[in-house]
Order: sequence, then C-alpha cells, then structure tokens
Amino acid sequence: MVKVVRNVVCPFCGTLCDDLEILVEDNHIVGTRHACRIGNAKFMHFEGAVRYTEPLMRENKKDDFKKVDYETAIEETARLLTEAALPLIYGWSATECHAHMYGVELAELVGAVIDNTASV
Amino acid sequence: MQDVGYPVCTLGEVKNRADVVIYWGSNPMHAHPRHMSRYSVFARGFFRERGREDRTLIVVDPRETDSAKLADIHLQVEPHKDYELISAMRAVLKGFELQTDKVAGVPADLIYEAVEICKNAQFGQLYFAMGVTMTRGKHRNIDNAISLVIDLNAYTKFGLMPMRGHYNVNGFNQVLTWVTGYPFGVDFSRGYPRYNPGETTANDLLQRGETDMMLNIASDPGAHFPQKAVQHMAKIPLVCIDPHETPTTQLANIIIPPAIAGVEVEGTAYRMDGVPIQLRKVIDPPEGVLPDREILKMLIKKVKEML
Ligand code: SF4
Repeated sequence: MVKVVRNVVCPFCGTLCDDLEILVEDNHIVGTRHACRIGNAKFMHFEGAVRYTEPLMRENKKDDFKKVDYETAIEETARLLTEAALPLIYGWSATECHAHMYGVELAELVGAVIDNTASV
Repeated sequence: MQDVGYPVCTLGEVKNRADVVIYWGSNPMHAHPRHMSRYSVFARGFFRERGREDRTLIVVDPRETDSAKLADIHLQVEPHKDYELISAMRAVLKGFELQTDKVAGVPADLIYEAVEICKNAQFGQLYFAMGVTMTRGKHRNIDNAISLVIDLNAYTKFGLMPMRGHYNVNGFNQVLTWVTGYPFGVDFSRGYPRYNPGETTANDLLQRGETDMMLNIASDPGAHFPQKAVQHMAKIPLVCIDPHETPTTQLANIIIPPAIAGVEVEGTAYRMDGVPIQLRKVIDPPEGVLPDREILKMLIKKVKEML
C-alpha cells in the first residue's frame, strides 16, 4: 500500500521547501508531490547514483576498495586524524546541524581546520 | 561579509512585501527552481496580491539564462565586471552622471533605469549567488553589493541574501558561529579558534599543500574545487563520509556511508534566510547504516582513546 508522508522538507537546495508529499511503499520512495525537478531527484535517487551501504577501505589509492565494518573504518580514520600535522575537516553543507556540532568538537580535539562550502 | 555586516529579512517578508527583486549572478530557475514561485517573484503575498504583476524583476547575469528571460530588466554585465557595475549603480544613486555610454557592457540608460526602480521601490530585495564571489574581485564584490544595499536604504527598505546552493550551508555557519564565533574556515591547530579567510579556508590550504590529511563529509570538493586543490587531495590520506559515489570518493582511502539526512534520518537545517526547519525521516536507512552524527560520535570517542 502506498503511504503519503506530508509536510516533508526537501533536503536539496537552500530554499528548503517544506510542503512536499512523499509517496512511500514498503520503505521505498515511489513518488513525490510539489517537489521541483531536482528535489524530486534527491528523493527518487539521482539517475545513475551509486549508494554505499558498507564502509570501504584501501591502503593505496590505486588499489581496489575492500569492505570493512564501521569499527575498523572509524578506528583507522581516528588514527589518520590524530597522526596528521594539520588535518582538514571539510564539507557539511548537505547534512544536519547535530552532525555539525559533533564535527566542531572533533576538529577542536584533533587541532584541525574546519570549513564548509560557503568559503569557496 | 564580516567586514561590513548586511541587512537581512526572511523569505516570507520578501513574499509579502517586496515589489522589486534582483537576482545577481544567480539563475534560480535552474538551481533553486521553486524560489521564484514560492517566495519571491510569482508568489502572491499579503501586500502583493497579484504576485508577478505587483513586482519588478531585475536579473544581472552575463548569460541569457532562463531566469534572465523572465526579467523586466536584464543587466547583461560582462563576465568579471560585477564590481564595476555595482560601483556605477552606487555612483548614479548618489547623483553622479556616468561619463560613458556603457559600464561593464551595460548601456548607461539601463543603469539609470534600474537605479530609479530600486530607489522608488517600497521594499526591495537583492539575492546574490555565491558565483559572484568566484568572479574577479571575490568577496570585494559582495562588500560592494552590500554597500549598494546600504546606500539604497537611505531611500527605501532594501534587503540582501546569498542564494545558498546546498540545503544546509547556512546551518553549518550558524553552528560554527555559535561555538567559535566565526562562520567558516576555523583553524584549531593552536588550541583556540582562529579565522582568516584565504589562510584558514579549505581551498587555499589544499592549493598551498599545507594540510596532510582530509576528512570530507556531505560535499563533493572533487567536483567543485580548482584542479590544484584536487591534485593535493589525491596525494594525501582522504576519508569521505558520503552516502553516494562522487568524484571525491573516488580519490578516497576510506569511505564511510551515512544515512541520508532529511530522507532516512531527521535533524535540523537552516534555510537560506536563517530560519531553522525540522527535517523529516521518510524511510528507514539501509540496514546497519548509521547517521552522520553517530559516525562522528564514534570518531570522537576513538580519538579521545588515542590522544
Ligand atoms: S523542491 Fe526544489 S526548490 Fe524546493 S528545496 Fe527542493 S530543490 Fe530546492
């Protein structure tokens, strides 16, 4: 059965339209209402988009990725962050504010530069 | 922006009050498709009941974009000459006469006409794209545009707002300002926050090769940064927290996939006008996939163990 979720906010552009209706069937999004072309694509998955569902790792950038669990990927990331002389933590513009908060805490802990897409 | 400050208002105020709307260097029909219809030009507002008919639209863009085609006045500025055009408009506003027939490729008559419209507005709004900061003059363009808006406020009410591309650019600036006092580009390497755009900003740091490790989250600098910066990203250890494959993840050593905020996990985002809005969760994430904030919490815990 198709369920309609109302008053959904579009997480794509800074207009942040808050009047979307999303059609959901079996935990899959099958359609949108009121969204524009790109907002619709964000919910329906951009054509050709490849979704990761497991962490991946490789030592050398020329190698292929190997699947690992979250613990391993996070431990290795923490090691890289703490060993670096000046780590850069960058991005943030397509996620929510609690993630930002933890991001700033992490940056302070490891003495990093933290920046987002506003500065480009 | 931090040098001069700027007048802000909400999108709702523009919708209800604005009779003059300027888009400078942005093409909302393409990048923010519902911006004009929901909040600015076409929307029917409290004092603008007839919507489009009650408003004058000015678009400043070197290209004949879809948005420019809808404009009452299109100031087709030559590329990289935004600063000159803004200065000319400020001069005209102050009562000076232009000594040439064209400034920055725009006929003087059209500049006079545009300034007259802005001056006589009941409520004007200037939206500028961050693209303007990429043309020659960089953030000086914005400073000058802000000064134009300040000058206009001697005659009428005029506001200004950057058109944010990604949905929560503003939210990050809000959070970082709240915690450190600075909106972006904060350097913690001395143990306290330092802010000096050009020095402590990602692009510059990468181009000068000063960073030796990068954690990228929820963005795709591999597709948007200048080549020299991307080359450095390809050299240093790179970790990406991103749900999808991007040109950046292709350069990564580690990829950690999060649940998609606003689709698979709830949270808060700040609209371009600074209004916080609660994002909703619509479906469950793929099994076992964690939200960005959980991944960061685990990272903080691990880092604390190692330090
Ligand atoms: S629906 Fe379109 S205009 Fe509205 S926030 Fe989404 S992408 Fe932006």
